[in-house]
Amino acid sequence: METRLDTCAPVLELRDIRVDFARPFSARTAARWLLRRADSPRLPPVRAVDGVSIDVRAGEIVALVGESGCGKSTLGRVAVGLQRASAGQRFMRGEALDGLRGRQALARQLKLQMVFQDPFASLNPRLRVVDIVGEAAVTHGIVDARERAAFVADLLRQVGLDPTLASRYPHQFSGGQRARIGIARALSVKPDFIVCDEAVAALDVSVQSQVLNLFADLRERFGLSYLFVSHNLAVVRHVADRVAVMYLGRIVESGTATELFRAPLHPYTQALLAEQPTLKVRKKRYVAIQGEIPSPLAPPSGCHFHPRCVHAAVRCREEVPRMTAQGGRQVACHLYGP
Amino acid sequence: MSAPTLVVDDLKTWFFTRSGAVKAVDGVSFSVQPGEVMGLVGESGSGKSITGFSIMGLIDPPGRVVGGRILFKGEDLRSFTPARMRSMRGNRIAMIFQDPMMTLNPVLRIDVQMTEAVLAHRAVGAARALELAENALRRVGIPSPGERLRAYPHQLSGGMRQRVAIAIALLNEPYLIIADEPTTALDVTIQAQILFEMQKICAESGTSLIWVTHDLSVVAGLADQVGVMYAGRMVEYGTAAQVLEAPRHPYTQGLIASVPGESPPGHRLRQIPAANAPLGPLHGCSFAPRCERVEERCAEVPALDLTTDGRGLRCFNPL
Repeated sequence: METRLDTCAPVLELRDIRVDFARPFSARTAARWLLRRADSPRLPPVRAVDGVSIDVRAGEIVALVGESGCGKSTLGRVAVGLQRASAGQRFMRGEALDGLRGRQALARQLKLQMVFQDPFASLNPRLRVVDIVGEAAVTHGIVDARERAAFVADLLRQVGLDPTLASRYPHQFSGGQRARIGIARALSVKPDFIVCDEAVAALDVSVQSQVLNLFADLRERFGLSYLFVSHNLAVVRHVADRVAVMYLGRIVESGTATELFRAPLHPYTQALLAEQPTLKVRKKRYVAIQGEIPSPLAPPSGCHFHPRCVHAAVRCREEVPRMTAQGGRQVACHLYGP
Repeated sequence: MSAPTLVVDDLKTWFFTRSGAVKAVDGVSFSVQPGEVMGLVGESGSGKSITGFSIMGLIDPPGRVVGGRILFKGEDLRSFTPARMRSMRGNRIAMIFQDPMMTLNPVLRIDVQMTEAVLAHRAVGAARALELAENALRRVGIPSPGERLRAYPHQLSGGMRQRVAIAIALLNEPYLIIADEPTTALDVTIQAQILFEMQKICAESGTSLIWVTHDLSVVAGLADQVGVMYAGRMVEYGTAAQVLEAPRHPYTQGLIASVPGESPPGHRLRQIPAANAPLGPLHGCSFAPRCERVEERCAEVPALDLTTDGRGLRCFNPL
């Protein structure tokens, strides 16, 4: 299947995406500026995503893994267009998205949808399910307002909910059911590509397994592609075709899920996999990697991972490692580079 | 074997609502030895957290502990006066919550909050209390603890805050710590660090630990004993190896099978049919409506059978 997919352009391609968040200046520097003792009160921006390229092909599930604060959610929001990138381009089936305006932009935009992390916060508590799921489709002229009820009933059936519940409010549903409502809403405008931002993180294991199975079914049925943002390696290992590991705004390793989990190359990926608890290990000795993910306000020089890395050398402190190909995989680490 | 730190015997905690009594915990029994880690596993609404709160005496109306005994070092905590119970909490028995901001006061510095916990229970001076606080922070692996003491909670990351919450629990060297999903909100690397610290502390000081979680894989690497709860009842109980490697209750087996990463990638995950556990008035085994091995007998409530190898099981038709 791989080879057939390789021949067509990716459903979505992100190229050299950078996202800077401007920081409000501090009261102290503002005062100094007013007193003409400093040039500008502006602080350097926070670089949440730093030159990331990623592509998702038709019917593929690509996972984006990393710790909180690494920029994976921001990148997911850029992918669907909820967040404007400071630099870089987005392509959909080979066509640049950012130059489009008006009707054309809207038509492309509808093909990119998102399922949000929190099934409690992402549904309007004052709308009935029929409105939550049906609103967008009617607004965009995908269904006639008179056919809305039947359309919503069909969608609810697709995600495994009882269509008779359509007139209820979100608070009358359990967490797993709400996750399904969020998925039905994303599906309502017939997307090609869905970003799942920690879509199963808030769910119990038994409910999580139901939702993961649903994602797999929907991919089969509609040929959907997913960008699956998650910090849960066990989930990623189960669903993803390819995986990209992010650390402090940069991708440090990417490759097929099988390869990456079999033999991780980057020291950070190795550490992540080693510390993932599994059912098989009894009385495990956790040899924790030291420290925490550094603040993106002041990222370390060179390779961002060097302060926590067991292999860190002088070069790692000074030089940013470039992505290099290692037998079908990409890794950004001086251990493998030229 | 020395006397157990805690024996919970037929604990019943019910919530009296307008639509009748909700039996959140309905006859739970287990015991924890000194230095032992007990994993209490279950889905949301299974009563695992309420079990923890009941031991701490933190059940508010409309909830009430209506039956059973909670023997802590041989004494029944239920017979304690509120004042005596208060002198136990944070002193002999400590609790760590899922969200460290539930424990920490956002407008007080860490040193104030930590010394407060020492001074409430011990006759020591302020300088000694500060020293104990610094030591506790060092034990949970916080770098430069002297400086961190002068920080406010918002100046610390989520992982650091949870460590501070654990340090506060450790301050008075309790016999028992109840940890309610303390690593659920944390990244794997931070979770691993905290699991590592907790293991070390329990092994060194003989503190018993009850680790309440819905994550079976965390329990697998940490716990000596595992108890699986469903709809207010303990359905299976045993050593971690017994429960996780050879589950006998259909619910435990379903839970283990639905953990991703244990089945080959791409395959469908095993699903436990239907939704979460009902807490309403229900006759018979509460798992029966979702169970694949259901029989006629399941209309009765199965008793907790204790087998010779120390396992407990509540099922008529086990695997």
